[in-house]
Amino acid sequence: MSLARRTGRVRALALALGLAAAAAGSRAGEAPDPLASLPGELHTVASLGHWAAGARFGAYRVVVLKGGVDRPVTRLVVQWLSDAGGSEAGVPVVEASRDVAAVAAYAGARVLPAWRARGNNRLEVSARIRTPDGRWRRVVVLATTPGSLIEVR
Amino acid sequence: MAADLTLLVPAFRPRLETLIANCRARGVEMRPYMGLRTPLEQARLWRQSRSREQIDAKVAQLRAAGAAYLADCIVQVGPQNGDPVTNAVPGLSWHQWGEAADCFWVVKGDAEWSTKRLVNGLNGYRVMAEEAKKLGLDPGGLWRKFPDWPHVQLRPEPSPLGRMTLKEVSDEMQRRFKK
Repeated sequence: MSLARRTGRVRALALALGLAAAAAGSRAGEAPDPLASLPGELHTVASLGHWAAGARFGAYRVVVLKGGVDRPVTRLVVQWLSDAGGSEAGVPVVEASRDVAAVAAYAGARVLPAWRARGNNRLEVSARIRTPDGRWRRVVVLATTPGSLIEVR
Repeated sequence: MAADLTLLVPAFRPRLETLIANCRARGVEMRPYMGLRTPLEQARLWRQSRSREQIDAKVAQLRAAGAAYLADCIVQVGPQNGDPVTNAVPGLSWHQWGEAADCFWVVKGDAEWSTKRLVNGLNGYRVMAEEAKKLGLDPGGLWRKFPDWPHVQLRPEPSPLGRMTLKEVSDEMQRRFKK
């Protein structure tokens, strides 16, 4: 085999490897599928309602996480998704995220959450909570503008 | 609703007693209501609220892992009803090892379950977590993702599986509890 022919084969191989690497790179460069990294503790997700604050606006999202090493523990989280000024791809971004502290405030509890939109800038999130001695409590919070949670009850 | 602390392991019991005393010194009464929980008791709690399919699958999984005694505990206790109260199968809660306790806060003779309420500027669960940390214990209240305020345990590992296989856990539980 002549030197020129051998060099040509090497170049072709290098080109093929380069294309393969570029292809792999472009795939690797894509944003990962968020579903692939959802935690097992994620129990419920619901998007609802509408909020607006100045030029910003979007929907509320309620997230319920259930976990715990031994005792089951429930976390109830309110998020404010923003449609305005979000990512270039038009995907809403999380403007604010708050744990409903009133739910976490009861130790060792069974939690039955509920939520409903109550007009612009008002999302009501409630939970019935059973404490280990069998008593039931009820907490109600109102989500308004980004980051604002008002304990109603 | 009080736990028998004499059943806890010697490495944990005196530290728990010190913890209770240190809380009391700060004006907070914490009362242990759960200490040692046998594998059969854990099995009863675990079966509550779980379907037959979930139970059968877990029993099969335990048997396949060589954890026959743990599987037998789940089978032996029979059907149970009630709220979901534990995520841990028998052997995998530190309560079976005598290395964990749950305490409630006593306010004016009544159990107080709020981790937010303040009495004289203090919340019992938060005081317990602070004092437990000082004693080198692992308070559930300081767990980041899913805090368990009444809980305190000797070791930082979430379960014995960090250092033992399911079969080893099962064999040790059998040695300690099978009559």
